[in-house]
Amino acid sequence: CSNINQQSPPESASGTHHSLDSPEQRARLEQLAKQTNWRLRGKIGLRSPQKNGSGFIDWQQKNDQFRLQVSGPLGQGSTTITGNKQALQVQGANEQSAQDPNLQAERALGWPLPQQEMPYWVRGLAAPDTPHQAKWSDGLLQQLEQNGWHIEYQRYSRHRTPLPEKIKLRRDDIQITLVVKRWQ
Amino acid sequence: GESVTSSAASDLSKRLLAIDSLQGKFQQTLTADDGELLQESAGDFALNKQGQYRWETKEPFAQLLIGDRESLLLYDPDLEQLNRRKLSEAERQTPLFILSSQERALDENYDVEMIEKGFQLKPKDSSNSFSTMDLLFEANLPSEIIVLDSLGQKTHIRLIETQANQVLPPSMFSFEPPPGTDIVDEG
Repeated sequence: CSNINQQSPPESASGTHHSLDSPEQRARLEQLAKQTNWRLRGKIGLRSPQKNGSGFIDWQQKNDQFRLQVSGPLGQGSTTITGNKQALQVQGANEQSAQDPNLQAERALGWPLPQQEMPYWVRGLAAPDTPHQAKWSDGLLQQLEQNGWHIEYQRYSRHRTPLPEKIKLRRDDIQITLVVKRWQ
Repeated sequence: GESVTSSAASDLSKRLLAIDSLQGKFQQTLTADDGELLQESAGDFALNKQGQYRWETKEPFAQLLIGDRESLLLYDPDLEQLNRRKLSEAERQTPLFILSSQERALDENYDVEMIEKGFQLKPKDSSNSFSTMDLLFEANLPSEIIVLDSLGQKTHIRLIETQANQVLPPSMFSFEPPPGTDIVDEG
């Protein structure tokens, strides 16, 4: 799992205003980073030159195996992507014929799936072992820049371990809005 | 002479044409080919003979879809996003569209056969559509729609508490988004 100090922003990283001060906050993040079995269900909205739309999202993570399902209101155009850090399989009504599964996933979803980083980003964590710039406040990630993506955490849940409820992810001309309605 | 299918198609068209409007509740499940439940949703629907339809999902999360034969409006209150766009070819193959558009050209686009309690549609050009769509009727009103796609994924829609030929107000098929909504209008 990710190394401990990766989660607390390096003091030198510019753009870090409210750094993590309390040990509890550090502990919470370490705990969160270690958790590898979770599920989120909610909505996903996309604005991009190729595709605009919104639909339901269901993301299940078991260790490094994930299953992502995105579907439209009428169930049509439901795409299921399963895989782990290395391999990826795409199944779905609008499956695009492409050899490279990442391209297949991108065509089916309408946006490039940052498969390694998303499991961290959606939980308010930076992906490990990759440079990033982060802005924190009261121990919660507010903004993150990593691997070309700019991520804004607009709302957190009020659980004991707060989890993101509304996230905006932007890269070039692609904007994704993720609203999590149910964390498990 | 009329082949068997075309008489089924004309019978189906006749039944659909007899419906001026339809409204009620829906319960929908999406199951994978191995039967695993992928997604469940429920809400209210309405459609009329002019080809207008409203599909308001309430469970598990809210989402409103209003459309006609040409275009589609999709409003998501959680995302505060509204998309208005032309219907894609795949969307013209959804149950809602077929029920509301009273496709006169049913037998042009589909092979229609009589099955128990209803009709089974198979698209003639199956490039981006379902494999089979069963439209089941109860007391001459559509009661169930079962769609199998090329991967064996099954969408099962139950229409309940349906009322036919009520006067539906135009406001049912129009929508004004709240201020601050992110509107994407592709016309």
